[in-house]
Amino acid sequence: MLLTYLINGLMTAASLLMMSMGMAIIFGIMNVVNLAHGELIIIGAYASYTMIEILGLPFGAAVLASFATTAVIGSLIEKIIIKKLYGKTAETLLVTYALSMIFQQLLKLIYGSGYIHLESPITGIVRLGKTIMPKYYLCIIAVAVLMFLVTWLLFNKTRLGLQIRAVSQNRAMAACLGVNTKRIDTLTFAYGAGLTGLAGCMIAPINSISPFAGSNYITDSFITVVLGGVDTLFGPVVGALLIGESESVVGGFIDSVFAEMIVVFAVVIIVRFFPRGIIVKERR
Amino acid sequence: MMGEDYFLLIKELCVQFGTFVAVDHVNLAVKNGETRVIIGPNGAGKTTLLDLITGKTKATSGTIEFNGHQLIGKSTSHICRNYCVGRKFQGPNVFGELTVQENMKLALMGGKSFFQCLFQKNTSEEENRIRRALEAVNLLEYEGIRAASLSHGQKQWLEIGMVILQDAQLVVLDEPTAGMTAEETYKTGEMIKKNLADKTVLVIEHDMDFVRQIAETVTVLHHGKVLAEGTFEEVENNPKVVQVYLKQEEEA
Amino acid sequence: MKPKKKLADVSVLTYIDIIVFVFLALFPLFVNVFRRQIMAKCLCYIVFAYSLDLIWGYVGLMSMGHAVFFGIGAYVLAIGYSMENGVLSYMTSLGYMEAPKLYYFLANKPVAFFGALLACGVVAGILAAFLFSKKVNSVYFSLITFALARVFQLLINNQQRYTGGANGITNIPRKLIFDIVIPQGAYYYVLLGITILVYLFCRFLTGSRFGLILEAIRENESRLDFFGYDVTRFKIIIFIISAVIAGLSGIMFATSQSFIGPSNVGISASTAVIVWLALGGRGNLTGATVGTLVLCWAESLLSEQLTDYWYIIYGILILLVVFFIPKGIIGQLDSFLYNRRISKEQNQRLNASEGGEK
Repeated sequence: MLLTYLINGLMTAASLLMMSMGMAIIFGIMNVVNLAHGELIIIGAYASYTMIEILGLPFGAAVLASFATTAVIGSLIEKIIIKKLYGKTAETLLVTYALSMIFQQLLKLIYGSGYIHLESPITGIVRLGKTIMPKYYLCIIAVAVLMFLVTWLLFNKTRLGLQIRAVSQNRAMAACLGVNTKRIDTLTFAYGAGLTGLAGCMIAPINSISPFAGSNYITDSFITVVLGGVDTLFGPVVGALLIGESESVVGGFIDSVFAEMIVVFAVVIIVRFFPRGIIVKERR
Repeated sequence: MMGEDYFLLIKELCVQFGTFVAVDHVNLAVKNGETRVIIGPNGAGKTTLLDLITGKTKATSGTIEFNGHQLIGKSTSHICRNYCVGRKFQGPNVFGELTVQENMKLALMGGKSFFQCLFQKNTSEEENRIRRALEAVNLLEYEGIRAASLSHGQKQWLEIGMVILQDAQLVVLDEPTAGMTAEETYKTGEMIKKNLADKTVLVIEHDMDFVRQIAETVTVLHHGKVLAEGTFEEVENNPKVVQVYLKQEEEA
Repeated sequence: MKPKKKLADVSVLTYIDIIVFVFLALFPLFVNVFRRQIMAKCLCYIVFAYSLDLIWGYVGLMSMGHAVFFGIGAYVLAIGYSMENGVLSYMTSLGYMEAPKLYYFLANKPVAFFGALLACGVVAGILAAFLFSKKVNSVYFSLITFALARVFQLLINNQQRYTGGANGITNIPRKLIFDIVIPQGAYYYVLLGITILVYLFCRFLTGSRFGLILEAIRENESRLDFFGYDVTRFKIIIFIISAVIAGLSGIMFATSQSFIGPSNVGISASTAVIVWLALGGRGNLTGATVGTLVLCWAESLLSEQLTDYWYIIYGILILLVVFFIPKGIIGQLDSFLYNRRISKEQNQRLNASEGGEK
């Protein structure tokens, strides 16, 4: 029993990681809390739905479309709205909440308010000892690891990543060194949003998706990010593993709502002792 | 015992951030009512020293004794409330959306518990003290203005006014004249001399004219260590100090 | 020249408050029952907005889950008030014949009333003790309260036996503290009375030195330490007070609407009150009153006609408020009055100094 829950927890953790990585980038690097994060996930899912179910294209196209759609939406949000609100937390929260409301209604107007169903691109199961697991779960875990690796390489091994880190550390100095900080802001936000949309595409076949389902996902992403911390990319990984496993195990033995409640309360207590999340960079 | 004559006694104080030693075995003894100026090049550990005294930074080792109380390990609000320590920060650090008068009210010593704050009204004596302190820092006619709309120098004065009003036994001033014109700096010096004469004052300062104006004793910090101590003239003529500090300033 | 002690702009806001309350008192005389019931709901929401104003407007901590306290107040009271013969009204329809043991002592009306308020205070106190430790970023406070609102709503939905589930609790009797049913018309004035009392209490609180400290926490929390105030304790106290007032507004809502359901206690309810304050202006109670009245009426009049489009309009409205009147209606008025007063004083100073030179 426990082993089954633990393996399922790994899958939950992988989808949590995918969903929260974009938030960790946008919150950790740009210090913006995006309340429309859940809707970006949903938009990603609908983009993939449009590709597969409406246009009849393969899953690969859906992956690209979901990333591209949300990245474009993200860059527009940054360019038109967020740009003017850096450093104003309350205003950013309000505005992104307004956006989430608008997105929900637009999605409802386009696609209707019902749940959509997407087929898994990979069917079949694998056996791990006594545990049975759909192959698609393994696929999700693999994609989450891949997303993490690509993001890590992008930030730590490329020139663009160096510029992004420079802007987040010291904006004025980076600008003096010839970095186009505004472009970097837009790119960072777009990349974070794109990852979020991609997460939506990946989780769509195994989760319930409707225009109003965003709030199901945003709280999980919040909690993951708060628990893990946003100093480094490893924060969300640890946060996702802890929350994924505990939700799966507690949810398996008791009840999923209680599991979520226990996790939230645990985070309230943990944050008291790890105010910047569990994974922190050493600093003065 | 010699130590008993001193109001503030710092012994072998050290603090380390990672591998960087910011304050290195500092010994400092300040008499009651003395105005002590601490000078030193950037990164000498001056602000860190003040952070240690006001409980903002935790010391790695050493002791800080003030008026018979050990300050190490106490929280900032505890130190400021129970041992009457007041601090002015480097650069203006006021309550922007509150008026000048409201800023001053916050500085008033007195009941700081919840119920006292809820029910105690300011007495007319306290109102008078606020007026006197505002007068001392040339801000009386700006009483009703929000602190954010004061000029830079006026904000600095507001902070000095708050420290005066706080009626602290130990006043800690971190670069009180930063960003001021020469005339404002001189006025600030006079304010401090006039209104904080009977207090023990610890000042960090870069402006040498200002140091000459107010200092009774000067301590020079360098790389977290005490380099020299004495009157302004003594320090000024100390070859070691000239070498590391005054000369360095000329180069820059 | 001794400057006037009461600032001119404060009293203008007080006039607005008085006018609004007089208007609210006369309102039932001119409208039908339906409209009066909407206004009764507004009164509950005004109190709810006051509670958030204390913690967000004054202290600057944006609680994104304040409806949790609204909900705790409403649900504890609703459970207690609708207990009859050891069974809650919703239970029989769900096939439960016996209320949980825990609920028995809530059957006593005063116990239910004060228990509801106490529960809010206790939950808030526990949360605050963890979240207001010095190093926890205030953004995390917003995020965690947001998460709580969602978990609370899920829990209410999920625990049908204890909470009535998605249908909520209906037919809550219109009683307050005592076991006497108050007629609907009179109950409007009971609500108005509570609203005014809460308003006066908040005025007293924010006008005292305590209120000054609250604003100082918002402006510059770390500086306050150096004046010897125990900032954490003040934050905990105000959060508890705010939560209890939110609970009281929940009680007002449950008794006047005789209904409480999961949709009243979740994220959308929590963010709605944030939007009212943002529109009205925070950090002065007048803004809470005005913003709530405007948006509640707009919602009840427009949302049915516009259905889906209402939320789009609502979203666009929030964007417009943030970009064009970031301080809210009353906040903008307040700055206007302040600037006028300042330029007047400056002119006086100039005139005085010119006069001195002659």
